[in-house]
Amino acid sequence: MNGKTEKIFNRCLKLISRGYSIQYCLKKYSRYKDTLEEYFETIKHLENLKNIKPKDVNIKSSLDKIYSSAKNNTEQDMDKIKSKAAAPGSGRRVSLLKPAVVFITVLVVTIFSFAGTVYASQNSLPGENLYPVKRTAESIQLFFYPESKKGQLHFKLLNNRIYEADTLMESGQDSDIELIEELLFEIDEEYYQCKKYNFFEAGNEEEAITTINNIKSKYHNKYGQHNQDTEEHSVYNEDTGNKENMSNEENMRENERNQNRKGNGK
Amino acid sequence: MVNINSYLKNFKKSGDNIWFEKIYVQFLPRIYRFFYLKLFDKQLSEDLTSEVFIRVYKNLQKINLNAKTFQSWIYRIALNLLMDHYRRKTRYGKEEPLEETADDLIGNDMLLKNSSILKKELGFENFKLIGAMGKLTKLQKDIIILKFVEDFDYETIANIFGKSQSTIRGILFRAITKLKNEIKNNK
Repeated sequence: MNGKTEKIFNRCLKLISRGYSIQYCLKKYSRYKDTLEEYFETIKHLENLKNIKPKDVNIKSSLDKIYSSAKNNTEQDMDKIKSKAAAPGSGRRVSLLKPAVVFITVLVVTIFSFAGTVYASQNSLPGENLYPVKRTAESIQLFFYPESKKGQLHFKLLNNRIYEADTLMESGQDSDIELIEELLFEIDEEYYQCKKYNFFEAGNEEEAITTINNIKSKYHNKYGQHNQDTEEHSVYNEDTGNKENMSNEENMRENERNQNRKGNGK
Repeated sequence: MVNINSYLKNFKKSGDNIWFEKIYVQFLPRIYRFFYLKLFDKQLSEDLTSEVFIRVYKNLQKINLNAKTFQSWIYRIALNLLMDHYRRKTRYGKEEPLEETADDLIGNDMLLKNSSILKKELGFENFKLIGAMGKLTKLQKDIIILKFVEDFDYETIANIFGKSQSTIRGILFRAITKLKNEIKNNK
């Protein structure tokens, strides 16, 4: 229960940092309303501490003191450096060759075994041993990806999460509900990131929304209104238009086709 | 915080103290508050705050920083100074629990000794809250102050303490839960 509360609490902080109100959060996670209210009450208390300020100081005289102290300290430091340089035996050299060879060997072995593990983890699903490796590899990829193409990568990650959620639902084990809920939250998150990086300007937002809504409907049909977290996000368009009857896989495939077309067009 | 980037850039470029002054004015209350909430001693907090800015002034032109990395850097200086202060204060030679013990002793001692003055300085509600914060560990207290009093994001806090963001999230949640329960029990 505590783990779940922690997750909800962190999600709320994230939403608030994006400009959503506390009330929105309490409404979204109404099952946890009482607990969350207590947390926000404590945070409000803490925010009162912002009123603590130093007594009115004369900025000019304080700064003068800082400038003169900094100057004196710098002179003392220079003296120390000079006396150290003059000390005998200060220029002792250490052989670096041996540690360098060991380091490079360890590095090469580590890189190869890491690359192998990452490759093997690509088809893993939440709950499997290699899944954290897959996610770590994604985070690293995201970190090094150029800013201008991050939207594209987030879209790929969105499709990955949808595929994982779909596969877990197909496997039909009740123990996977928590994992699926987590994935649905992450799907929202990736959708938000795609929007943030203006990925949908190319016009494939509608397909993405349809796919997301389909996967959520599938979840609701299978498990019922199990949890508040999976409510459809207000930014999603409920009107799925003529693509309403498409299956998730078809939608995903079409999304990827759009993606490829976009790539070829460049 | 938007302007800090340009102040830093201009100070590095021109070395004109006017830009340092602007940074000083923005960060003075925050650094002071950070010390005060740990030590509950106005004079000492002011002295340590000055020391932080002396170090900042001495080194600011030598390194490349943006607003975010500057925040982490200045708070790391503040934390190091606090450690030095504890080391000077504590007589024991033990290494690990030194800071924790010193922090508890110094902060809580000041709270007990000067409770009537502090109640006046802080207000009754804040005084009660700080009493409850005394139950947190040093790290929990630091993180909770940086997150909810100074409005830092997880990335900056993680940089200050050299820990991952998920570790910081975990510590923060345990801290806020403990604090919430402590306030509830004291009602």
